[in-house]
Amino acid sequence: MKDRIRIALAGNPNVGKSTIFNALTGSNQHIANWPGVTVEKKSGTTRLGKTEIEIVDLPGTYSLTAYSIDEVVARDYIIEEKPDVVIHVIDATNFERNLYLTTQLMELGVPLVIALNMSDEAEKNGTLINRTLIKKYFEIPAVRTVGSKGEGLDELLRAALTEAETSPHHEHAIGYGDEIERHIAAIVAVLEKDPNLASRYPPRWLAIRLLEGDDNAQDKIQKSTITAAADAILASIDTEKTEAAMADRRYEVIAALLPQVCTTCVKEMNASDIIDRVVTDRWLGIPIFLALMWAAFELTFAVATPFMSAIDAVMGSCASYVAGSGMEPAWLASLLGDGIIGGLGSVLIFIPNIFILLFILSLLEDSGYLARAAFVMDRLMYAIGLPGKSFIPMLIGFGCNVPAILGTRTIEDKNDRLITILINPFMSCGARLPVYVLLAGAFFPTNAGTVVFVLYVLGIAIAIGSAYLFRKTILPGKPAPFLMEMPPYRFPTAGTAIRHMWDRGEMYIRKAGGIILAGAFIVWVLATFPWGAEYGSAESYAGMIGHLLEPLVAPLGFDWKIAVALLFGFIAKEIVVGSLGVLYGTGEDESSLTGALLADPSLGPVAAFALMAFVLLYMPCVATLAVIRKETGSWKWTGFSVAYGIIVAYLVAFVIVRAGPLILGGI
Amino acid sequence: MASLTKRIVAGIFGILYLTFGVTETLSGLVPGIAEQTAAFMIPADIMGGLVLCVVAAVYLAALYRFGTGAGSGQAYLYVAMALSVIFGTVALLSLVAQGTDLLVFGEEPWSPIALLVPMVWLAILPAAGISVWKSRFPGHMAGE
Ligand SMILES: Nc1nc2c(ncn2[C@@H]2O[C@H](COP(=O)(O)OP(=O)(O)O)[C@@H](O)[C@H]2O)c(=O)[nH]1
Repeated sequence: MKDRIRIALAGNPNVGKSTIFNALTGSNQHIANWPGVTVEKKSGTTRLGKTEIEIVDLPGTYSLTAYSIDEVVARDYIIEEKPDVVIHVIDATNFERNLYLTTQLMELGVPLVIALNMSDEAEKNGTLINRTLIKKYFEIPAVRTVGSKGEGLDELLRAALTEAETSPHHEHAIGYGDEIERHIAAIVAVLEKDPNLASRYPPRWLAIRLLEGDDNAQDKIQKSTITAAADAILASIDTEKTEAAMADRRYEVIAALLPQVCTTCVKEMNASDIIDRVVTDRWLGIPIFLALMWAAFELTFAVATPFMSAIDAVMGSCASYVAGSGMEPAWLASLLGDGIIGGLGSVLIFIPNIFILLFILSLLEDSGYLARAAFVMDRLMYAIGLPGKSFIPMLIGFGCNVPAILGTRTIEDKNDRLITILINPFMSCGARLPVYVLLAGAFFPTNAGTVVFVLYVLGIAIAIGSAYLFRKTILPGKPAPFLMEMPPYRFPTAGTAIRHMWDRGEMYIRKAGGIILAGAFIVWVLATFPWGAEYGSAESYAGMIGHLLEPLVAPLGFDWKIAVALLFGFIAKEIVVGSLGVLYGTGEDESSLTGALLADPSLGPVAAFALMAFVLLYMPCVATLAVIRKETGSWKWTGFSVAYGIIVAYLVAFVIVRAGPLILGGI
Repeated sequence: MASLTKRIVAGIFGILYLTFGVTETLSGLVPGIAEQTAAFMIPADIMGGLVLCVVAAVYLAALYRFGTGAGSGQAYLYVAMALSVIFGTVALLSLVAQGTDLLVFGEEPWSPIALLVPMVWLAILPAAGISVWKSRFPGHMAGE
């Protein structure tokens, strides 16, 4: 319990603020003028238990822009004096109009409590406001009060005290959409370069005010080291248009949330309200979201299959053409056939998967659903120390980690973003599926589906655990506020979705393509030389490396062949399957490879499961590493990602090998 | 009386989805069951089964809300029907893609009969229902 806290009362005029202030402070009042202006400042004290509470009554305002002296006084007090809690007194009979101020108070980064005052009148009119849902959507506790009768005031103080003592706070704020958010991020980055400014004013708030052309905010950044830099950014932006667009966003969020927290505040629920009611349901929201994600992946993998078969067939006939052409010299034929065509194949084979998944996610995004899904997932993400925004990159990671990591660009906070990037490789991407299909099919013929499912869950669990660990150790801090966006639902158009898909997918081709090709070339060199050794055999460089690595992986029950396959899997994880085919001398034919694997005495269900877990976790593939390097701009974090992955994979595989026989013994 | 129709629809579809959902999930989990259910064109699919259960839950939530007067029953019914259609379409497209793959590149035969899985045919009536009710639905939501 704190000994002393300071509370400020904010609200529109005539909501009963003075009544509440008088009821709370009684005769312990002090009236003065706010410094420099003739606005009256009322303050007083009260106690709750052992805590002495100082209460300041701020001037009543409709918003916190700088259009009137009252507004400047109110917001400057909150920003500069930083009260422990602000109680936002709302007239419950006029709920919607009061919410605009709420959205602005939320931006100031102070703990808030809502007093739903005039509740007696509101109830008489039949207005029903759901306080639990206010907490859910706005992350602000709400208390029912009747100021004129003194009802609910104790509870109000208790709620304020609890908020003052909760730390860290989970905040929600209005999200202004990609374009404006980019401007905000750019200005925040500049503001944060001046520690004086950044510690005095919440950077996001100041950036927003500057974007809205607020002169008072302009004054605040004069005489700072970054004035010129900030002005340079602002000069390129039409603040008048931006201000209007931002106000629209606030109204949009209010319009979407109002029918959810107060059904009677709207004349008629429209279709959008109806859908929101259900998809954000306390119990059904997450299952519905997961079911839709299942649908996205089901559709992706199913629709991609014929395309992948076609690519496979084309690449296969190219390879056999080269092989049959009797091309001289032999190494050139091998380079073309095994190296280049094989490498190109491993780039192309994922294009259908990635593009279809990105297309479906674009459809979901354009329809407005993903904005709601972010709401649904926000609490869960916050609990593990991540911002709500990072769940979309995590989802895309199930398709491919490369576009997923590129997708983290929307996360502003550096640590938030780094954590999201570092855990992404644990989301089991599509390239790992062929490995599971092969091994689970061979060693768990009756439970293959369940085994694959367990692997996905294992990946998610490790990702969550790692996020938690990083947050507690190397990347401390609290997740940035959740940005609420509630665009109206609309029927997505294929055109827009294709454009979005292309924007993201093209990066995969550009960034990953070259690197995978280069990697495939290296594999070819290692498997082919010294010249004369059989491709990928024990005598090739690859085989030698495998034998060198064998002692390292022996505790996991893996032999040199698996060591080589894992080494090659670094290029792209599905290469593990092809490599095993080469190493076991069966080629790509799956049924004979399955037979060969089953016949290998060193592999059993436990070892196979350990191998699958290892493939899932051991390190990001080379393309993913390349984007990690690019996006973090640091070799240190790239190296960390590799080392962490290998250590986790090793530990997990080791535990499976040791504990597995006890659990899987019967199977 | 319209409300009685809706209750019946919510109840029947809730139970149908639940039954098929549980059966699909169990068929995926317990190997012995799959052979029996395959005869009824019920795939052994854990995740697909769980998805059917989610849809069932939304129908049953609608029924519950109609029954207890908790409100928004129609919203839940409407969304449940929309989910039926979405998942039905997804299942249909996936199966068509699978069929195409088998017909063009595969060795096994494939016949359109394979399209008749519960997730697809359960969606037919809700699809019709949505198109009939579409214009009328939202109007009833006020003040619920
Ligand atoms: N019915 C009802 N009237 C209230 C309540 N709280 C305040 N009032 C009345 O609302 C009017 C405006 O209150 P006041 O405190 O001056 O509003 P302020 O402008 O926000 O400070 C006064 O006549 C109060 O008696 C309440 O909870 N219920």
